[in-house]
Amino acid sequence: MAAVTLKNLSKMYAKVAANDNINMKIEEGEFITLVGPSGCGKTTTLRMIAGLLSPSSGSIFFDDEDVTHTPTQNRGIGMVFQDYALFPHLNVWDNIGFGLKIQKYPKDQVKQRVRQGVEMVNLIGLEGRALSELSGGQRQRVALARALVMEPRVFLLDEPLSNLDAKLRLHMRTELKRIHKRIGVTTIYVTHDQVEAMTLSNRVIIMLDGKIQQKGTPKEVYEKPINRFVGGFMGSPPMNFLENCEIIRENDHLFLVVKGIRFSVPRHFYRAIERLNLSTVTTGIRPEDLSDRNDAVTSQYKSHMLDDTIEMTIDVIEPIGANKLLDLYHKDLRLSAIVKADSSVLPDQHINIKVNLERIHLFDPKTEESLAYFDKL
Amino acid sequence: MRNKHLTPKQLLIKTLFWGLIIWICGTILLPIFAVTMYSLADETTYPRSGGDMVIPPHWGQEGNLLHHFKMVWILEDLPVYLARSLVLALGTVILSITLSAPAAYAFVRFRFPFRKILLLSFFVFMMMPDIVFGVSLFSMFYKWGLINTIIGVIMVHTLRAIPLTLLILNGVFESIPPTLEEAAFTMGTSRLRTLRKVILPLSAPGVAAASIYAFLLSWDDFVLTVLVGGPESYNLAVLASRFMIGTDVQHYRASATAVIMLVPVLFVNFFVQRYMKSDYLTGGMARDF
Repeated sequence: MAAVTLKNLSKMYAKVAANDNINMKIEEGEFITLVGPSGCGKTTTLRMIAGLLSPSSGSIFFDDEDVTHTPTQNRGIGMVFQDYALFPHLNVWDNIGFGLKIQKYPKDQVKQRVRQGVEMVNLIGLEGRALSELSGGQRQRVALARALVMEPRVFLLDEPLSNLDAKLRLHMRTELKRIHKRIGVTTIYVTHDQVEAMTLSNRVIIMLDGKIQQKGTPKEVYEKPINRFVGGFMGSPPMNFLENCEIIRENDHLFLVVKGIRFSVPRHFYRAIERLNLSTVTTGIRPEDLSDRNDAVTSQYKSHMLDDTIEMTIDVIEPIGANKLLDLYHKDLRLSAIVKADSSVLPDQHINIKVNLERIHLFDPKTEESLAYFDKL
Repeated sequence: MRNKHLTPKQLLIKTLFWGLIIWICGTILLPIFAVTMYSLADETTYPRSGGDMVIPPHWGQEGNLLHHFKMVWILEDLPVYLARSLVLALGTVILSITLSAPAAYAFVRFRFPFRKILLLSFFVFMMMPDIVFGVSLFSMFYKWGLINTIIGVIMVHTLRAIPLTLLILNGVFESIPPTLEEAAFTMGTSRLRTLRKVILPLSAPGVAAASIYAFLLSWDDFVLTVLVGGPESYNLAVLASRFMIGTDVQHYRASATAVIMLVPVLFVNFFVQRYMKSDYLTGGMARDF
């Protein structure tokens, strides 16, 4: 096992940067996820760590060893590919044992380790099967075992679950987490699915256009997104954005006004707004931070000066198990909100929506940076 | 007749089925049947000008069903031609595959300038008539002393086969996902061992197909063999054709030679087909293709 450090790593394709000055340190045994929309450079980063792509500049370290120019086969990595890339001419057992045999491990050791691998991914009884006789999920397991029996220093996964159906994906996600817990290998996981990123990893690295946007624990990036992109990308259903919210001053209090609705600005944003001299901001509100006024527990912040209620009309109601997703509108402003499933709401009904002001996000409309990080800028 | 009870759909299927049988007979079995018949029949079976074909033929000649085979075997040195044809065809297979396999692999896996134009040029080359190709090579081959040599004929057959084998192998390597190689690398396999342990077994069916084409091209070649070859390097195709050229057309000997030429072809087809199973390559990827 090894810690992985990337220093100023860049990859250029005909003057376009697929990866632009990537810096990160992944601790030994950590499960880290690179997440972002397609084309953001996450797979490029992973392939450079694997040695399947050579960086245009910068360096890669496994512990203190510079592996930037080490060929893939000497890096001691294990990798699971999006398309599995199993060897179709070999059966399950021989696929898992391929690397061990190539590396000339003694026969009994190969046998023992392949057996462990088969047990780890629950493929007992299928060792002799041809790959064409396996389901997608079983092939996925073979790919996992094949990489893990090599006892890699770094375990790399490139969108491994994207070819599975929803139910199986959920199951394999748990399985992956269980395997990581058991063997504790340094794991770098690439996905475009923010749910996978949030649920699996110790830390998430969010990328866009070849650049790292934010690094942090799932909780950090969810609760304190560094910019509008991260706020909108993490979380499902996604964050609501209110563009061009005008800032109004009344008796030392700040209010946001947009399309005739109005609510207070939390105090911790005052300094940033004044320093940056902003007249408008973009507001981000997560659907779960909007609730039915009637359901809401009376807020401890409630005072006559704190304006946290907006009046909306319900357009569509989507029941999602324990909750209901409300699609709300006011003039041409649309918001989605999550309320409890037992909440008595009806389509076309007017509803008083309570905004959880302590949890709203404000972004500079020009730079799209979060104002919450103003002090650190 | 039970035919009365056939629905139109059943009738259609039945018609198509028998149509297919007739098609197979016409395209494959009829030529084989014709040469086999002539090779086993009396000289008078074959229609002379103005005459009709005698069917059923008078089987055998001089009381021997295999008379014509005996004659070509003894009088025309058929064993020598047979051995030579095999050497030429196998030589062509080995040479063309060893040259075109690395080239095809490079065309598929590496990006280099003029790659597409270069690939295209091979296919244009394929369209050049044998005569132009053979005659143009003659002076060069003459200078190098390759005229009327086994090596010379193998070389010219190989040149002719390469565009075809390259085309086939190009398709073969393109069908092997590059991630398979990358997966092997991540497990500590060197490039060379990856070629041997992954690429080679996976491309075996395609290589077999390309080999058959190269084999048949050489086995069947007449024009180029005549142009750059000579009495020391003629193959069975030239021998068979020679019976048909000139005033004394010995169709029965040509037929007997043709039947002998069929044997390895059927043999090769039968054995190589086992490696060309269509499901050989499936199952390794997330989605079968």
